[in-house]
Amino acid sequence: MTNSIIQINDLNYRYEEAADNALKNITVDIEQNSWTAIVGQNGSGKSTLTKLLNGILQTNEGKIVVNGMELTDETVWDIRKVIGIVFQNPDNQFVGATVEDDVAFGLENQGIAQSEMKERVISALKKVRMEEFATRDPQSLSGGQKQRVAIAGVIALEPKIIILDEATSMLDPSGRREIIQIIQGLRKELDLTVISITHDVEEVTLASDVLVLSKGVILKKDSPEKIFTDKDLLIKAGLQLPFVQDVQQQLIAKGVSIPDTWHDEEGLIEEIWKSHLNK
Amino acid sequence: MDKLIVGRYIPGNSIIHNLDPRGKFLGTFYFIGIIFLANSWYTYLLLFAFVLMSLKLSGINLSYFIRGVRPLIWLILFTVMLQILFTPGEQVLWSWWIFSLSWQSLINGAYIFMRFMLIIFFSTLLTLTTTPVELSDAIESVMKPLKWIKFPVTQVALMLSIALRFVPQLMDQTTKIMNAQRARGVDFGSGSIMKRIKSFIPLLIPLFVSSFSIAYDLAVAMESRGYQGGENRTKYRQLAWQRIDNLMIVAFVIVTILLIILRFGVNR
Amino acid sequence: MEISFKQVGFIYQQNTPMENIGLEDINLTINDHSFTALIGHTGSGKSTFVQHINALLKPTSGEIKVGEKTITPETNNKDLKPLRQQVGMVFQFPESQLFEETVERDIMFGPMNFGMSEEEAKQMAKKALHQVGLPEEYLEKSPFDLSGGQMRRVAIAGVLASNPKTLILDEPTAGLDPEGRLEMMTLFNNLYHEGKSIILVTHNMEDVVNYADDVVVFNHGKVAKHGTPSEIFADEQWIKDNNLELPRSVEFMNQLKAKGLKTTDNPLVIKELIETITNNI
Repeated sequence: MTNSIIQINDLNYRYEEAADNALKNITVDIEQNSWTAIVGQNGSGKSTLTKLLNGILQTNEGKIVVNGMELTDETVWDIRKVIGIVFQNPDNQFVGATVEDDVAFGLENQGIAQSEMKERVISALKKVRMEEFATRDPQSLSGGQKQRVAIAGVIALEPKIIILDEATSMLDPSGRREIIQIIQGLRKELDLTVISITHDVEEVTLASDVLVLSKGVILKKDSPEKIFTDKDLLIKAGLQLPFVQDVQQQLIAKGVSIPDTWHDEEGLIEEIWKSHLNK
Repeated sequence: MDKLIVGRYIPGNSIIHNLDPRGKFLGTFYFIGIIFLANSWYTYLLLFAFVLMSLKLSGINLSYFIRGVRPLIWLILFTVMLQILFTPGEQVLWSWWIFSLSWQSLINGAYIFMRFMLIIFFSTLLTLTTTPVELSDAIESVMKPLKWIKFPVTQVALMLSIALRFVPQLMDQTTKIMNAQRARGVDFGSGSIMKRIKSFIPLLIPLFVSSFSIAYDLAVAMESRGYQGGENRTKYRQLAWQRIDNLMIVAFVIVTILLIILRFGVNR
Repeated sequence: MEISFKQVGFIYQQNTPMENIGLEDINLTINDHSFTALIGHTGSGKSTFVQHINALLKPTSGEIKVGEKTITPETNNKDLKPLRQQVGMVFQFPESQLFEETVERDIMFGPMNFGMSEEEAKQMAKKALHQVGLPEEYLEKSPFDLSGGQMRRVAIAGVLASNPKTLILDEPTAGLDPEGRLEMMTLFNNLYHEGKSIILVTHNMEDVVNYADDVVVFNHGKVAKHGTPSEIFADEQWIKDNNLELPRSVEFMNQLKAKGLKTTDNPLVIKELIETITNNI
């Protein structure tokens, strides 16, 4: 593939005291502008993979190429400019004492001039609709708002890739929706490649690719349609069916005549209605 | 913990709030210094007038400042008592063993008391009107000369601001763990001293554990956002000295001159 | 145990300039042996409410009855132990309360504070560990060597071991993977069927319809609605106005009805949804 932004080749990783490798022979390409959902149970190696991608963890076995640069000690800081990560816990990644300070943190690290910083902070906050909160402290924000600030901090650095490392798992449903909407918008606006690590099956259905990890091994990488129609895989990876597919499968099992192809909620309702009219 | 006023910021938009934090920080130290020039009722009156005027300008309710004194009241009274009982004087009013009470010692005690009040009111004014970030910016800027002796000023300043940023979060965490252990039957602060000390172990260990995990998460997040520690960072917050800050200096100069006149001039 | 709130109000940091209302005029009875779900957006008063049930917070006005115990603003901090033994509380991310050297000692901590003998507490620890689905050899492990999910189970065992009659759960499945979630909810459901009352604070509407028989909706520190799941979710507009979600099955059925499907059934869970659809087309 010529347009892959991340290439991982035969990657292995073992934690110091661990008996077994946390990641085994990982070989995968992530395409530019794709939205890849990485799924798998807790302990399957999802977060280890992200930490290897931007050099927080290091391994001698395997090769990682990001945006044409091979990950080494020399390139790690350049690669971190390309990859922005939003982590799970909204509180523990908030560095600044106020919203604007937090967004500016990454820019300060890059030595950007103060006048330019001001503009980039404001424009990043506007993109996540948090500009009115610029001078607020983190204590006065909801979890969803804190994660929006974290996203602003990431996009202020103009990355090519944004990784959501279970970024919505500690949020309430409305916070979760906010974050997903914002990422969907930003992806189009800024031509981002999105990698989302998640347990939320509904979030997985939004992706263009799904990477299924189990015990450190890639079981499959394919479109959500293909993944969620592979019943053996679902059981093996401990994945649930999204609600719409669950309803569809149960109806088919009951003998309702609807086609066994991929539908979204609207499509399935249409099919059920058609089947009703045909009676 | 809710009652502690020292170190808390009260948002506002007063003249005092808008002063440059460097000026406020150094000004506070300067003021504490000149308090020691006061030696008579007139001089204390002058300083009190200055402090009350500053408090008024901050737009913060006086009760806040009085509450700020409360946690220190026993220390203050103890010091004042020592002063009163151990200062020798000519007009002895009452004496017993090594203690004696004289007009002189009573007046001295009152001066000491006023000195405490002035210091507490003025430094509370600094923390109530200055955000922790501004304060750490001010400290960083004041410490800048230390770079000459290779002192890591920027790192220390960042450390300080992160520490300040996480204080409220750790407070929340403390309350949460305390509640969880109370729900498991712990009775904090009752029983014998040994029992009381022991009851804090179920609080302290979880607090340490969560602090470490916060620190780890934070370090990963900071590194991912390109933090390399070095000196090549720029600063988002830049302090700007304005006309009003010059006015503050003028006010301090006037007070100092008046104080000197009252102290040395009256004797003449 | 029956729990009743009479005109209960709670003000955070009363008599300070930071004062704000936590609860206002709560009148509510939660029946003995019910599975009650508390819902409402973040900051609506759910967590403040549950902390009153075992007197971690005391009301600033009104009166609360939990079984035989009455809590008023004047209630003394002493003699609360029997109440706290009967009302077990699992906080959000309870794994952060672990502190002992071994899993066994941590689980025994609660029971022994409540006056059980060491022998009894050991027995209870064993039983509780089994209830949360961990093997017995974990008793000797350090809780800090376990995975996040296992730590949470140990923390929950630490609450179960005191043998409470009522169990309060504040978003107990937050951050778990789907399989872990399901196992945990099944555990609570089993405890309910064994005779315990469950009070579940949750944002997950599927859990509400799958497990609860009683729902309380909080909004701005007040009870906005109290009823069975079908009563609560019957009014779609009201749910949306209160910033809540509909369970997926209800939403799905509402869309089919909007298309023109005629039925008086109101399915709450997927099983009922399938039945309604197959019966009506």
